[in-house]
Amino acid sequence: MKPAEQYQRLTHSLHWDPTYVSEDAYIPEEWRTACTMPDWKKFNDPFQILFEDYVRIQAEKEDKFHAVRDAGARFGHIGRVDPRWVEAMKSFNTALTYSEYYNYRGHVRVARFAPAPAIRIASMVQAMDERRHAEEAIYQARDYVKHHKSGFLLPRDRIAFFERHWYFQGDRSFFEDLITTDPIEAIIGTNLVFETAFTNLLFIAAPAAGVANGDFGFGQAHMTIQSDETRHMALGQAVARAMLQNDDTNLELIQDWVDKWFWRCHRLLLAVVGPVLDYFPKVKPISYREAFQRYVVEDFIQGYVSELSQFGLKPPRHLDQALAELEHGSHTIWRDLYASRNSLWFDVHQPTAEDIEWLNEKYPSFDAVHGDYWRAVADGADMQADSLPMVCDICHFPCTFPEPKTAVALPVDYEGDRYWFCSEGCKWIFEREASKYKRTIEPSALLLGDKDPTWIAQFLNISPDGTPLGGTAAPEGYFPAMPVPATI
Amino acid sequence: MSTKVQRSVVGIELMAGEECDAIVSAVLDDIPHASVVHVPGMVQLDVPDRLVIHASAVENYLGREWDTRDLNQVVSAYRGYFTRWDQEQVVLSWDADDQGDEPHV
Ligand SMILES: [Fe+2]
Ligand SMILES: [Fe+2]
Repeated sequence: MKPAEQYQRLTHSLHWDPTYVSEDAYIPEEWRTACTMPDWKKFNDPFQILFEDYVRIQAEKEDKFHAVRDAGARFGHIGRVDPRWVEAMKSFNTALTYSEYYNYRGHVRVARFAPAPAIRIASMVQAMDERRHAEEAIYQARDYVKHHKSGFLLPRDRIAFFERHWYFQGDRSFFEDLITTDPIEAIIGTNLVFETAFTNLLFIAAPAAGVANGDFGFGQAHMTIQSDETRHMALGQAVARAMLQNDDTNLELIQDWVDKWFWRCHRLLLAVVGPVLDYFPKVKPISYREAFQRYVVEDFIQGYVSELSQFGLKPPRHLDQALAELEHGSHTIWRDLYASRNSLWFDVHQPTAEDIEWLNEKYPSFDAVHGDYWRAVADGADMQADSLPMVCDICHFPCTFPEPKTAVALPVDYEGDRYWFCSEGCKWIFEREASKYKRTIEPSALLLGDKDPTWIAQFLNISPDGTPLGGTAAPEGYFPAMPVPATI
Repeated sequence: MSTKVQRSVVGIELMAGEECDAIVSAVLDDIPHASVVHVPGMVQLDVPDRLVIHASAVENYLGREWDTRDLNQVVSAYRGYFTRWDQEQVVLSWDADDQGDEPHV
């Protein structure tokens, strides 16, 4: 059988239109896409991967990943990873493990509810990829636990932290939003915006930093993760193109989704990956701003978005605001983290003289804006936050951007409640779909505001010095960032 | 320069190693001024407008058979569209209809 014929059998031949059940039973309204296509069955995934090739290639990727892990354990590389980098991994691995797992859940849903057979099979394959990524992150954690003297913890021992600490609510709310969207929005948000524009910051720039600091396992894991991403990106690009090409009524939706996910990705990555490139590592091969310029501005905006402009697509509506924040964003979030360092299980260090020199070189206004803060720290100022930061009701990061002195906090009143946003971008996202984002729980600042430190420590399942207590018995109660429907 | 995009550069970022070296050498034969940048663990290969990887040229450098499907094992990032990916050629281009080169001899 020829590959094209085999692919046909795997996708289109596996699809049938139901005749015994109604459309509603087949794809419930809430999961049905608002996009239209003259014939969804005509859509083809550019990769057209065959299952047997997929299995063979992925098995080889896994073998290589485990070979690097084995070598790291055998020859002691893991134990020699620079300690500052392992602190980065305590933060990053916490966000990543669950994010990959969320993505797995999201793609299983797209595989079930997407209208095109080719999208369904590609999403099924992607769900397996995401599951692999989550498991690689867990293996990585296991390696640090076993071979590095840094007090690393397995994901199960820091779940309360991911669910409850303010720093991780941005990541959690991002993915809970992403896996509860229209299925085509899920593809645009994940495959086009997140994976094409932003994952290179996670999986290319971050592993380059990891390798530079001795973490070969992280380098291998992330480069192999990103090699799956090439398939996902191609799907996102093809779906966007097909939607724009075949029906111009889709343009407004696609544009809105690009705008929304561009801003959400920008905020999340700035806050989570910014410190991983600009602060944690001792050896810093690339700054967050340089990586953003290469992958987001040059590749995504000046490449893909500009190519799709022939169909009417415009650059993301808050692009200029995102660019304006890059000069200060990672420094701002590092100061927020430093002020909360007693409730974090990773070490948020005071930048060394070498760090400061590098920061000044990469960010020309660093000294003018942040220099005094770190000089005060050097002179013995404590800088301990006495309350939790006020967080944005969309991105769930503190309202401290672009930098603390000129911080933005925009109010919106909706159904009798006042909501606050860190930026025009987050405010716009809220106003477009207020009923999705209206508050279902108290924001952490209010929830924890009048509580004594012992209660807060218990809430986060940490000891008074910020170390998670571990174990699977997380404290009572679950606080989702937003309600996740039971159907996923 | 392609008029399709503001910045007409296509490229791939490859996991460093034997396959990466062979692919880079094969591309440099066709495009001697391609930009090749080494970063920790990876090589970034960028060229103007379009990039064609001929399997036969890669095989020559590797000294063994090479299945283009295995490119997925070593490509970590790319810019441009993959407009063709079959046994002979892998094409990255900003022209969505680019069907690659005449066969190499
Ligand atoms: Fe993933
Ligand atoms: Fe926000």
